[in-house]
Amino acid sequence: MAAKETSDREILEFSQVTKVFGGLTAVDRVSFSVRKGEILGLIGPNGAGKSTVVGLVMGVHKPNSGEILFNGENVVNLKPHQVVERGICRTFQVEKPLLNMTVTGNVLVGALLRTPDRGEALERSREIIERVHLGRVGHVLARNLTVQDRKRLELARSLATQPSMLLLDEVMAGLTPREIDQSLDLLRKLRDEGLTILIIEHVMRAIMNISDRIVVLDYGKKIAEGSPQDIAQNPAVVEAYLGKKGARDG
Amino acid sequence: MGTPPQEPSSGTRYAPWILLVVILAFPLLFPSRYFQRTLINIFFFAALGCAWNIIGGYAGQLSLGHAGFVAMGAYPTALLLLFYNVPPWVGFLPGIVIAVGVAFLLGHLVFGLRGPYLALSTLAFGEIVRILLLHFRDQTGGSLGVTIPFKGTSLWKLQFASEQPYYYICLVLLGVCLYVTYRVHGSRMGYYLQAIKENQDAAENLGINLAACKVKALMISAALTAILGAFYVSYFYYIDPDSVAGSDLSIKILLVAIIGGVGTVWGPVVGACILVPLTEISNYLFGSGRAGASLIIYAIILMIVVLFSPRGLITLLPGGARSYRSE
Amino acid sequence: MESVIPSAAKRPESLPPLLAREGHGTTDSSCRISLGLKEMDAEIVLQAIVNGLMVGGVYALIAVGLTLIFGVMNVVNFAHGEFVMLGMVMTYLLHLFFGMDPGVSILLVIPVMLGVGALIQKGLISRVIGQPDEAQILLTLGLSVLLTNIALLFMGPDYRSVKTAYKLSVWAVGPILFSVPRLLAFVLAMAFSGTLWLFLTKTDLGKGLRAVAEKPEVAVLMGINPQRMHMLAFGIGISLAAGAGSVLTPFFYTFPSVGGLFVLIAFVVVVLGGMGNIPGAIIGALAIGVTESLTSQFVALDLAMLGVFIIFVLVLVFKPSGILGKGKVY
Repeated sequence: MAAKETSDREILEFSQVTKVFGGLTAVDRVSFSVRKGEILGLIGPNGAGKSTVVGLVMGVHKPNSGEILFNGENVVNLKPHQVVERGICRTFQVEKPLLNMTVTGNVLVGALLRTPDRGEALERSREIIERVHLGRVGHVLARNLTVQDRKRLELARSLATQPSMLLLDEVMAGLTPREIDQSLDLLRKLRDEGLTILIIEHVMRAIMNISDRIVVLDYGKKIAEGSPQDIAQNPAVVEAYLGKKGARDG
Repeated sequence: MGTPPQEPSSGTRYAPWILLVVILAFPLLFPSRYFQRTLINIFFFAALGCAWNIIGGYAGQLSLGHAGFVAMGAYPTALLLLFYNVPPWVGFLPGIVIAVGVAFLLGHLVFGLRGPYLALSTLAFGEIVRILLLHFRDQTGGSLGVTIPFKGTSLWKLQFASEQPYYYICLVLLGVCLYVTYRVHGSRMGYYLQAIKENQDAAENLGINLAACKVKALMISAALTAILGAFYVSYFYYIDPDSVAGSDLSIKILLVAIIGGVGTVWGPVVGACILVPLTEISNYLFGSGRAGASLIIYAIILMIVVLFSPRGLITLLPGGARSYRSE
Repeated sequence: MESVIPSAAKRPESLPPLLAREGHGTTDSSCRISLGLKEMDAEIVLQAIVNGLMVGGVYALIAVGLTLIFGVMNVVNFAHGEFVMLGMVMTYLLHLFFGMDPGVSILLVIPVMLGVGALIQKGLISRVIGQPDEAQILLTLGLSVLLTNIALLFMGPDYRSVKTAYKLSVWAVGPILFSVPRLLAFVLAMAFSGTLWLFLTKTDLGKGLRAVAEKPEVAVLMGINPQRMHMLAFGIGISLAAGAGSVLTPFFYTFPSVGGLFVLIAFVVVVLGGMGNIPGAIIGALAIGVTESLTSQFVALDLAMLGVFIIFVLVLVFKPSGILGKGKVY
């Protein structure tokens, strides 16, 4: 097998990856790469395999075939916590806050990954909390947060692990247009500071707005890749979305 | 809603110190053997509860067979003392090694399992230890147990005619357990364990190595428990598989922590302060032949706590709710 | 150097259910582990298997109740063994005061316990449904301790037996001996297990239970009341356990802490067969009964439980969804 040449600019390479669950091929020989410092959007109808892709990257699932290279290293056999250590962190579509800990406590747990010193971790946590506009609820227990604050907490916690790449899994669901704009702003700032982002979304407005490039999945296969404008005009994409009668069970 | 925790008033700040002085001076002030014995029991079970708490309370991994670790500390100590005259303060070391080693293996085996199955496996673990101890009767004395003869006060053998030295030894052991719990509570490990307990998926996503953390907690817990098993030998002079590896003991241990307050440093102390006197009262009312009576009371308290005060009775004390670290 | 005195008599509670039977008394041989298996005489093997199957049938009745409760309510009932004990106690008392045969009293025990179970579910168990796992574990554990010690308080720790006329009867089929009380127990246990299976598959009420087990949200939409189904499931589950206790009394000691023996076996069976899987529980129970019997016969008497536990560990590690699958352990 020929050696793979990873360009310096590619932080993640998803290469001919297939994942089969029981009789169902959730991901079918999908290949794409994420360039350093870009925001890559991943879209597709329900059940297209987007969440499976996240699971594969994070080490939750092991692919039946294919490679996943992060900074040149094949992460296919790593456990999730090792993937996080390497520098990829995800947010959960259904938020998973540590309910009986405060916002600060939650973020602190994330920060402790990079430094065992509580004081230092606390400082970093406070900075992050301010950035995501959670400063006023630092002492609130996570169980008492609003939906938008919960999503912010997911993001803050992930940022605390100092990732070089962030996987966002449907973070815009349930937000008002104004809240969406605020989130997009924040994501742009993070990208400008060097963070690479892979964002999965159903809210078209958001993802078209923020993505540098977009990859489209349908029934586990990649059907399109390109700029938001290209994607919007791609007939295969339009058919995938409009030609469906209802969502498939994911 | 979002105010930082407040400073304690000066009254509550000095109270613990006064209490500490009283406890230290207690045997000298009150020569009653009965009261000293009761306090020793309180210290002993509080310490056991603390040890259990590290894995059961902080990590949220319910261990229903923890008495197995007590036996791992007790039997080597007793047998070495009886057959080879090895003093307990040396003889307890093999017990710790065994307990920690078993904890390592057991942890890796069962920590992938969900709540009830994990609990079940620990129940089976305790039973297996007990069965093995009964089976190898030629080595362990089987159901007749091991009796350590008392041959007079001896520092070497850690045998004393009066209660006082035991009082202080047990108090020191309790102090050690409390200190270890305190260090775990405030360290990265404490945060990680709490995160694991709250939501394992989230914890894993923050880079926490679930298996390693839990196993580490179990190993610490097992080591402390084994040390207390060695103390049991020195103080009670008789062990048998049912008393040191049986489910009655396992249940008492977890009761102390759960009733008092899981996941807090002082919870088990509160729990022991409730349970031990209750046992005394129940023995008094129903006669100590009816040992079942105190367990009935325990069971009722456990169910009440589970249903109405799951964070333990420590939350009813002033300032108790703050014992839970939330940030 | 003092010697540790070896024991002369084995205390019955160290023996697994198969062996802690009356008339067994003290054993003589030393009990080191002999890894060299004793002679595998075909007759002995067959007899051991038969014995194992008969006890396995009773295990099946216990396990089926446990797995039903889990399937419908998602509750792991740590107190399940104590209901076996209650069945035994009730049968013992009925026999003591009215001379009622266990095969008859089971017809009384099961309906009564059905009601008791429903009440316990309504008053106690229902409060922890939907709560984190620790709540139900600790609650049922507390219930277990409570029941055991209430029995202890009233009955004392002594081992009691129910002496029926056919207690020592044996029915010979060729070289194989069938102990009559055990055979009776097996037949009754299998009959009730079979009845449960029919109930679940053929009756509307039974189908309602299965609906709640498999798709609770849909069941509600169809007008089924989950709370009532929970009460029914719990009631049935523990009444079957109590019934198992009834049929055990002619050949098994009755004492307060007997529940502890059964709960572990029941759990092993249920994990083996797949949680919530009724045929799996029956097959698993028979398998465990045979394993226990063979281990005690060919390895060592008191290590029979160990053989069971080893299987338990192996299943948990390698096939946690149970041999027949469909269980959820992780």
